Amino acid sequence: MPVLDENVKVVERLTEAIGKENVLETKTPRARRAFIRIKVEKLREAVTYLKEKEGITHLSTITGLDLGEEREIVYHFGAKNLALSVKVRVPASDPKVPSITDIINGATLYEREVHDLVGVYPEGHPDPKRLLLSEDWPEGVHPLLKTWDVNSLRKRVDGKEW
Amino acid sequence: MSDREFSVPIGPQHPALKEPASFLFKVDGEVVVNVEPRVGYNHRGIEKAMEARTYIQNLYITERVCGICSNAHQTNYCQTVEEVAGIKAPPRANYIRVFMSELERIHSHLLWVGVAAHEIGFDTLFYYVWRDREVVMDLLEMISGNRVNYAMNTIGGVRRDLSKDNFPKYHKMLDILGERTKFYANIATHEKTILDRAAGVGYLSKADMKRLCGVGPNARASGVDYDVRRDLPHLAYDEVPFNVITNDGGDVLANVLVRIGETIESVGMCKYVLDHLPEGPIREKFSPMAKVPEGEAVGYFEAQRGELVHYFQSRGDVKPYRYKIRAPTLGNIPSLAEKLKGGYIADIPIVLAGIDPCFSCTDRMVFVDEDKEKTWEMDGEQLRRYGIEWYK
Repeated sequence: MPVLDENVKVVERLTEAIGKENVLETKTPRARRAFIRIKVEKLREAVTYLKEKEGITHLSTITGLDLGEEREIVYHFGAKNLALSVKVRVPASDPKVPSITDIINGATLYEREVHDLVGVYPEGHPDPKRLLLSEDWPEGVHPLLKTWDVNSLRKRVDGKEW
Repeated sequence: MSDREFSVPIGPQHPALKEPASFLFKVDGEVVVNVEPRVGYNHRGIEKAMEARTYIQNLYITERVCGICSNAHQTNYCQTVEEVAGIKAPPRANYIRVFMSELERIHSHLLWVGVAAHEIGFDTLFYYVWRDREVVMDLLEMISGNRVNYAMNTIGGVRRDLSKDNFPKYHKMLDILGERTKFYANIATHEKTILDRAAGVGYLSKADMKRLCGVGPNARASGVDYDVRRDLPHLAYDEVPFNVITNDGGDVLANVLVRIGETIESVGMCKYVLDHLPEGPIREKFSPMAKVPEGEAVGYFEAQRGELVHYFQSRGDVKPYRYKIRAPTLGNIPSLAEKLKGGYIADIPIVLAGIDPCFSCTDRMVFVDEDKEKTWEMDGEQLRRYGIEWYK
């Protein structure tokens, strides 16, 4: 069925569009699912390509992961018969990604959420305020980083033992 | 900011439903000029908590992400973990999951129609709809023993079977639901009380909705033809026939019509599942302390409020390395903010309720006149009454 290998084809076309040397990893574990990891400099180009050439405009959400030395940001796109996850990695010492909110307006809250929880700053975001954390939450404490657990967070934020 | 504009912070206790969220409204007289949403008052750190618990414990955390879509979160969690663990739920389990998901959609949509009717001051309809909703609540209770949090799923399948002896009774109850919902479809398109308050209110075009990545009935009410059940089929949705309901209206009325249409479809789907339920086991074995092999998966699920996305990464441990949940309401907030712009203060409750937000109710709000440093307060009930009076 043509529909079932569409994920492979989209990944191939995207690879061609941004250049093979910029694609670090691809995975198509099953029909309707695809993962592609690209260099962070090519993120905006890839998202623009998906929007303009593939008609993939629906950003479902953005996930941030703490991988120790690096942070991984996963952009989940939903389309007819394809859930595409575009990944980029940035060093933990300089956690910044270019904002894609101007290309995909629906990304605005997700980028702010990732900044709150994983500490990856969306550069060029029109309104990079806090989304989920409260105003009195200490600066620089990103609760989904693996360095924090419930006890250390409690101590840092409330100044109390659990 | 011109001297004609006022800032009106509404929330964290806000004017629809029962959970906190905050909106700062800039108003010029009666007209909303700009809206700034602020969420997070109900952020409970569930994703962090899940990283510290085993897969079986997490079943019960995911079910408690939300009261109304408890089954949606749990089912999506199960199918996402199963995908990485390499477990295939038996066909009968998937059909039962579809059955529960659609019953949940019926109860949620009917609840919403009641709430929407209440927001516009049409309490007669509210009582009628909620009376009929009891039929589906009874049906859920007969199957699971619970009215909310059915605890039907486990990793590998479902925990309870459907007994064939009860099918005639289920069919009868579903018939009542279908019939009553058709009656409400008729009311929604003809009753002047609804048309006056819903038609043309909270309008958003299809292009704007797509641009802001809206999901679910909210997006389909603006004509966006996207339904995860059809476009990224999960469970047994590729085997159960149904129509995706869309409406080009883009207003609150379109939201009502889409949800009523979906309820009728769901009734049909439930009846189809009862007639075509495959025989066989209802679950695969999954040990409570089992390790899930390394891997990752994205789970898409059409919850009643829209596309629900879970992302799961395993590092071969008894606990998830990362579990990300994006509930549909967060996806609908940018489009909601756009919908409120240009509308009247009196329409705020119904437009807010229009997306069926999964956060909350106004108990109190503060209106601030920035120029005169004057502050006045109003509670949610007052704002609702204000809206009703304004339209008299």
